[in-house]
Amino acid sequence: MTYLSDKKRKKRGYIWYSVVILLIFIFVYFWPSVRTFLYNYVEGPVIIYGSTRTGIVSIPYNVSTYFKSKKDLEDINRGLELNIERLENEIAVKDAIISDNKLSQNGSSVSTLEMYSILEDSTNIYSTIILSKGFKDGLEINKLVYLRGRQPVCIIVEVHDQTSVCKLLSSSGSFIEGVSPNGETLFLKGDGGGTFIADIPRDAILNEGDSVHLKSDPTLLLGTVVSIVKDNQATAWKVYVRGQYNPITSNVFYTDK
Amino acid sequence: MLRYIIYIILLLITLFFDTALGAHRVPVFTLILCVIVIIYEFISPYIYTSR
Repeated sequence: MTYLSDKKRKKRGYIWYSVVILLIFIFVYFWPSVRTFLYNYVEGPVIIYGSTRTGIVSIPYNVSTYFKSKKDLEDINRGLELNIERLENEIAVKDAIISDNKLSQNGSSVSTLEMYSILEDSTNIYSTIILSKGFKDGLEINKLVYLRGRQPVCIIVEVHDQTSVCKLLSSSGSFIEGVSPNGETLFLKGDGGGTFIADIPRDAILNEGDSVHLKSDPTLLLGTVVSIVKDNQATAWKVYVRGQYNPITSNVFYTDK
Repeated sequence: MLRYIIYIILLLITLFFDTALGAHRVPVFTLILCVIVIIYEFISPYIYTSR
């Protein structure tokens, strides 16, 4: 037992605790920038850990996949691709909403009807498509049909019980109004397949690679400018716009419900 | 002395996890460790140990 006062030592202790607590507050305050700096050194081990863990966790899935039939794998693949397309459509809608800064009538999401191309009309190649949905699914004439990412390709002209006929926007001889990035209206003439041709004034500001949107609904991407033919003897430039429709790769079509 | 070495090792571990697991605003694990260490350092002189 001691009678000596320990006040000095206790005082040093309190000062020490205060300094430590202050240092902790400063560290927490500057943590976001400190973390960014530290992450450069931590990234290597994190990647190694993540890839090892994923490899171990996916062993049961890989083993079960090995024993699956090819048909089952193709069905799973198809389901995943449809999911991707559905998500791309949703992203396109949300992007359009963000850029326009306004809500659509249905709120911030649009439900879509999924359809498949049964066959192309062989008498009018690259003119019409027959789709797998019809009157029973709520399709109506003049409804716009689009591909993944809300890229319009055709408009419904006939509706039957379980199928419908969709005329391509780019079918030969048909006209549609598009709008360039600068807001200029383009009178696009269908060239068959997925291509449009338009005449633009010689002083129009349009470049290769520019996107052309549908004038009636600027959220829908009609196509991309692939070539501008500038003939000095002509009164206007000729613009070739490629739409999204490709008879080989375009299989799944969507329309708003 | 050994105590302080253990504190530093624990601090490095918590810093690693805070950085890797994405604690963007507050280093949670590090804070928890600091609080535990401070409380322990404060009360340890008062812990009565019989010999």
